[in-house]
Amino acid sequence: MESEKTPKLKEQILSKIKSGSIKAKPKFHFVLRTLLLISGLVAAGLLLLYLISFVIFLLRVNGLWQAPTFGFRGWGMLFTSLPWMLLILIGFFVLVMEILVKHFSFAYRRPLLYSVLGILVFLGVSGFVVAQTPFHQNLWDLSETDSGLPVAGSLYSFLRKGDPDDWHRGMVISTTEEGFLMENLAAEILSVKIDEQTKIPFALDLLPGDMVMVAGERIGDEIKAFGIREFSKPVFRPRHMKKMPPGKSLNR
Amino acid sequence: MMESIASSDEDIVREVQTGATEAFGVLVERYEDKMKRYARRFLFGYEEAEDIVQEVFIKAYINIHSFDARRKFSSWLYRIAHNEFINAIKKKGKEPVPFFDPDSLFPHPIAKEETDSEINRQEVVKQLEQCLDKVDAKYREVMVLYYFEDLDYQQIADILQIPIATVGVRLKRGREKIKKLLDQKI
Repeated sequence: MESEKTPKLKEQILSKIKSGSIKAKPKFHFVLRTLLLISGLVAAGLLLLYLISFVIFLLRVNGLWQAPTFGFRGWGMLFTSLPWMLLILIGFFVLVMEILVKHFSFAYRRPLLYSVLGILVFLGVSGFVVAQTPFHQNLWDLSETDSGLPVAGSLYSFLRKGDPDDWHRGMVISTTEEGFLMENLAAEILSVKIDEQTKIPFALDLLPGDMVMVAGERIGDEIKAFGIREFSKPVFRPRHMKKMPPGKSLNR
Repeated sequence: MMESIASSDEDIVREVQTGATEAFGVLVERYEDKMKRYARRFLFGYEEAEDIVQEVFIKAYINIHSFDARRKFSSWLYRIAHNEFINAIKKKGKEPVPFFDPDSLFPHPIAKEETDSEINRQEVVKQLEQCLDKVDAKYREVMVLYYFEDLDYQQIADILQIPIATVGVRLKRGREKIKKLLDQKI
């Protein structure tokens, strides 16, 4: 009952093959397609690695990755100052990578969540490692030379942009009775006020030349700090601050 | 040609790949019934189902060099058929074919392959015959492949390029849907 086989189908197809109206695509067509697929994956992966490591580097440069240690206000500051355009771009390329990787059986045999998490964990860890190397620092330096950095140069202008409200970076100049004096990125001297509610690490011992981040409202030239952290390994030192060697003891 | 008939599908593909195009006729003969049956049950109400099956074989021939003869030819051919059938459904626009399936997003530990008894299986097949056309395409296709084409979870997962657990989930939901439809009828 099932079989309605007509000899026609086989004959029709074979006659089309013989007449040349259908032709098998050559093997190199598929090899090329696979190579293009792999190249697309590698390119998307490298671009993602670059963008993710840049975001991590950016958060290290402005110190905002430490903001959550100041509590809810700190979380809010981190959230509002994240480079959302870059994160959306990262999301887009993760989607592109997911679509490309789904062509391989190791990906489509597993739930989508696994492959997305796999991509994010792998690139997140790799991005963190890249962010620790001098790679972005060197590109940043290059972007500030007269010749500049082609294509990605404008990305590094993010690093020079002003900090979000209530977030200040700078170099310790000297201590005062109420806190310390700090020179910010705009070469302004600000007085940082510390009280019992300011969140400071227990063993913090600031020295002139130390780079710090201060969270707190600025009124005039004063900052009422609600949190202070030191850049353990400064990844930036604006040119006008290079005159002072780091780590010189303060007279307290 | 006698030699081709005795050979495995994969051996015949190797012959076709090396230029023996006539051998492709053996593959058409072997799979014509299966493809027609799959099309008839999956593409309800499509008068051009036979033409689509012809298109499946044409696509298979055009792409024959992309087939890795170390893999199973039947799964590869069913994959081509699946793509053609889905395209036909999309073209008609009679029923929705979602681009993204939330079932394949998370792992489903409960979806293991079931060992239906023969009686139970026949019962389900009988129920399917009555209202398969009223079930969503994504459940209908899995049920056609499992109950009518006798493919296992792994093969279905490879054809549809979805996780094995998702095959189980779709079968379970499809059966529930059939049960609901039959209850409504009664």
